[in-house]
Amino acid sequence: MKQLSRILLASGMLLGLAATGCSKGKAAGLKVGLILLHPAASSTYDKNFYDGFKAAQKRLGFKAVIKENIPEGDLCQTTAEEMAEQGCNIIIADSFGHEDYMIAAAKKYPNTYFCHATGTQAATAGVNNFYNAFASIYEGRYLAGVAAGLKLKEMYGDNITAEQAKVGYVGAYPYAEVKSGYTSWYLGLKSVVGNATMEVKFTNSWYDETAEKTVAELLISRGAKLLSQHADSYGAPTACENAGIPNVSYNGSTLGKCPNTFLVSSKIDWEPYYEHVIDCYMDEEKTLEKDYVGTVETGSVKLTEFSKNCASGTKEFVEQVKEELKNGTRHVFDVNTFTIGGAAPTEASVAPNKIYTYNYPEGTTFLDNGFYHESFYRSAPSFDVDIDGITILS
Amino acid sequence: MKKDRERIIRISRRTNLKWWQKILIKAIFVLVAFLMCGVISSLVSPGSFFDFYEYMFNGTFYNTKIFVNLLWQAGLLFVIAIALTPAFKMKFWNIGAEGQCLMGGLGALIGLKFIAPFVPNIIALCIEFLLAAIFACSWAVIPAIFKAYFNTNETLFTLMMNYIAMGIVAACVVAWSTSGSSVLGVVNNVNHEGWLPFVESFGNSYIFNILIIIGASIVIFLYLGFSQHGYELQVVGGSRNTAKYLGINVKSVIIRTMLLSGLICSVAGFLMVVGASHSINETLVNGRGFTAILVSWLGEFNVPTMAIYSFLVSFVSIGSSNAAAWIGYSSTVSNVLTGLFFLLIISSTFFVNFRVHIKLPKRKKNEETAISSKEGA
Repeated sequence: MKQLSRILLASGMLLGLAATGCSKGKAAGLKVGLILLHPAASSTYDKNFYDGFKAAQKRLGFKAVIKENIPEGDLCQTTAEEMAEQGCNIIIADSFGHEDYMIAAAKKYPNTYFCHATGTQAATAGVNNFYNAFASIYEGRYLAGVAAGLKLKEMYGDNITAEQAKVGYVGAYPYAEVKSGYTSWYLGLKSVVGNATMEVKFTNSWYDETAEKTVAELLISRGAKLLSQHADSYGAPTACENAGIPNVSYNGSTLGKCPNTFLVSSKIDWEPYYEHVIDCYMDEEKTLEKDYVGTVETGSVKLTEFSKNCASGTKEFVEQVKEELKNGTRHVFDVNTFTIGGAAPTEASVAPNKIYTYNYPEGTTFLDNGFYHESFYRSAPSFDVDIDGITILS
Repeated sequence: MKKDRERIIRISRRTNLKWWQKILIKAIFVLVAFLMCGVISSLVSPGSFFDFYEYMFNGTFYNTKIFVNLLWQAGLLFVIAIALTPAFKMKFWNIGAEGQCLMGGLGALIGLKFIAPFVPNIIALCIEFLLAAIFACSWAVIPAIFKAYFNTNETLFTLMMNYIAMGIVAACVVAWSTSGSSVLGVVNNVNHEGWLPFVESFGNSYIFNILIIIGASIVIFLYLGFSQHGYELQVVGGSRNTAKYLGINVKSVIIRTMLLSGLICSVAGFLMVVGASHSINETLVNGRGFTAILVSWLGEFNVPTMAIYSFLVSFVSIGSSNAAAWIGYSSTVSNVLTGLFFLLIISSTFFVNFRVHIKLPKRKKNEETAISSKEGA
């Protein structure tokens, strides 16, 4: 059946090309749907998916169908099913809470690909046409952390005191995606400033500008010399700009609104993933991974331009660290670089409840060859342990 | 000297409009609204005038499955509108349907999550509905008690209750979420304990939900039009003093009517949780509680008319959203189109109730003479 649909699709594309007399891209004739939680115009998170989708559409020529403002409920399933009914070949959803509804829709349309970013169930759901995807953003966070460490060193010199090496982090929820993000950022910073400590406070919202700004101001008042965040608004960067505190952003540059304090930002570029899915759909020989992880290598994990506020030589140093990550001589979650409860990390101390919480098969191990295997067995981040040096504020 | 000025536009109240003339005026405005939607679409995306209508119909009438989805969305809006109507007839401005439905959904979810796995399905469904009713009725009756005994402003009170309900649901989801992500996920996803039975028809399972909504609307139609309670709440709405003189206990009518509103909201919350999402978050009702206020008003508190408006509003909203997705412009444009539709329908009620006289000013006699003499020369 899958083969038949592909033959029909290929014939349709050939007829289309013959009719127009020109090529519009390798995926012309394909219909690809994107389901976004919020309008792209009002959410940096959804905009990131949207921008990558539009860039892929421009290059590959597929018909883009974008549904915005789809809540994490049965409307997601209805939307996905309606897209499939109207001829979409591939449907992608962007929010964690969409996953159960995408799986339900996938069961009804076995010839359509249903892809879901940030989810955890593809490998265990037993639905052939349902896939998860994420990126090794912890590498991007680590690199941004290195840039932050260099800035602290520039500000306070090589003999930086414990007080001067204190940073803050505004988190959304105490969830693995956020925890993995701030831990890798902290480890990047710590690789440059060995005595660095960090305070984290959660806003319990993905987008709450007032709360994010208030939390950032609290962290600054408690002595944080540099801030980063995993939250979607301009709240934390604005608080930093007002206080003159350097800020490392996420999902995109905040240079326009915070010209004096923005350093750099890490982000996921989803365009390579969209292209990969389309390639796998169109090419009989290729198989789409149940859990796809975009990396620095695939162009999925990126840093924005380094601003003039960064320490001199930051770009070159970060490039060097990036190469080490690529060739495997450096690992973000190297067990020699952090401790948990005063002791070196062990399998038991890094993997509590993960099998239950993140749908890993029994017997999965996370520590191997001296480092934690983040986004290895599942695309979505799983590192959710509080390491020494990081204090969670209640 | 007082200058004698003649008005160009004059408005007078209509008194003798026939029923078919009212329908004709409203139908013309609906058609104008559809036409304007196409025009705006082609302004946003040049050349999309006919595509807009094609995708609008594809998103709503493409096949029976998609049409049943439209009926479900319209039905949900309709049941919330009829929940508001008894209170509105009583001139109790309940704008808290969003929160009342959400609390009903929370009650049903508690039954679904904590009781359904341990009891037979039919008992689970009864308990879920009972909990939904208790939660939604409590949320509705609190402002009613304050209104009845302390004459508080029910508009502000019910509005405030919406936000408290959202906060409670958000807090519950954070507490119950196992991953810490604030996403509850589908509850009882493996064995479907406590779910409304799937009646797979036309490729989806909303038929059962739609039948429940039809049943609830018939009950409300009879209650409002043919019961003593329905008569009493109209009298209270007309004049509280008259109601008192007639021996009607106004306080009791206010509380009883709001309990009824809460009960119907609990049907909506129950169906959204147990019959559709099988989960909850603070956006479960998704603004329908506010849109339903407009539907209730536009339908002039008449159950069949509200059904028509619920259908039309859902058709425009879902259809224009589908057009935006396939033509390629932002969903905010489809929101504008739905808003425009509302605006024009509201405008139509003005022309149903009032007549506009336009009288062009006559040229003065001496001016006319001057002109004619010039022409003669």
